Amino acid sequence: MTCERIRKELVAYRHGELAERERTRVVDHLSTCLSCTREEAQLARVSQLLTNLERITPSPNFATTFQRRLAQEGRVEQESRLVRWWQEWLSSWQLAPALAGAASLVVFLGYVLSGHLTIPQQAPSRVPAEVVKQSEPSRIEPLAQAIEQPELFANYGAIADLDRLAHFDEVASENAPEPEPAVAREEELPPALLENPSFFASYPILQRMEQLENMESVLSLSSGNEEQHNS
Amino acid sequence: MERKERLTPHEDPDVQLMLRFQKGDTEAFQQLFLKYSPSVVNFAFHFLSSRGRAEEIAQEVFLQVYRWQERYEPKAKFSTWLFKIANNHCLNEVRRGEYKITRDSLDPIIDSEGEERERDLPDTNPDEGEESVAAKQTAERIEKILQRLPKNQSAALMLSRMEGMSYQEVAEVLGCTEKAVKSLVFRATQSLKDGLRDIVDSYDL
Repeated sequence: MTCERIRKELVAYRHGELAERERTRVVDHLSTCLSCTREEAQLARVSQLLTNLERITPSPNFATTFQRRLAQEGRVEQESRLVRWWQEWLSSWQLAPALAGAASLVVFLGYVLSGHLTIPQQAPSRVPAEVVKQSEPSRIEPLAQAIEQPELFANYGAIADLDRLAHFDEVASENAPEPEPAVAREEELPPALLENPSFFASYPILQRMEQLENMESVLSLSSGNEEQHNS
Repeated sequence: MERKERLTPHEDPDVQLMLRFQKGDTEAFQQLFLKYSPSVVNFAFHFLSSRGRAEEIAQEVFLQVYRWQERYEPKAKFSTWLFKIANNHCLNEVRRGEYKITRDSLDPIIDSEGEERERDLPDTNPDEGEESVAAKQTAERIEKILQRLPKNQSAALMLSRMEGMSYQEVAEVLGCTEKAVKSLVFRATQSLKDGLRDIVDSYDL
């Protein structure tokens, strides 16, 4: 090996970073080359001077400050864990579609209670005539059965959440004030409900409402059930 | 000049501490903080030339460790992983070019009697002799040379010489090859030798 190549290895040699073969070559070369031996001694001196570098130690309030920042971090972490938990809970429970289904049910119940069920002391309906016109009694009958059999809803999670909906008690109560006309406004009712308002009364469908992603799947199930029923 | 023995990650007791912390043992985290925070402050100080910034960066580094506890995987020695975070923080700080120092680092300290007092600065010994003054001057010169070096050179030298890391560990910290580290350390040492020529040349065999 030439002196130039050896000198490039000298720093790594001093730091104990050469493989055995390379190290042996350097040692052999140093034993015969005064110039490289001097270079190696100078590098040793540089290493020694480096030890003069001040080793900074943290200031006395360093740990306290860190502790404070850590506590703050802990609070943030706790809050974000809460948010994460909340989001996971929401997504796992599929609250949004369930509540949407429940809301539709309330709207429909309001519509029915206001004009098409024989309820004692019921105030005269203010449901617009055109809505009443479209709601045939034969379609309402199964729903009336469903209302009379509340156990049909017992296992349905979305129903359990109906009490979260504002004014649900009023809507459901026999002494309820007259429903807002807007409840039965045709344009607010899903078209599917107007076409087939009885599908809510079908228990298997109600059980599946929690899983509803769109109305089409409801309709397909509904029509399937009706066909089955008819046959 | 024998080649150093290398620990596998699972043989590293600090990795074990980190794994304990991962399972919720906060005392393990405290031990790691106590053991390594002075080294991280020191590394950051020689990188950034400011105690305040160095301490702030060191705290950021340990907050990062705290945040990443769940994702931690023992793929390397703990110190390698830690200094990788520290090096990245220091580089980001240098790149940003603006240094926000926390109020805690700058505000005067209020003592128990409500009086303001100066922050503690590195100890100076009024009785220090000529030798120690010369050593201090040399250290200042070295510091200036290190500041002028490219950051990867000074980081490689500091990690290798002051933190006692192997070239392989330095390579992991800096994200380069061992060969590249060898070259970085060589060039940094040569620059120091050139910058301190008057002292080095006076050294005789």
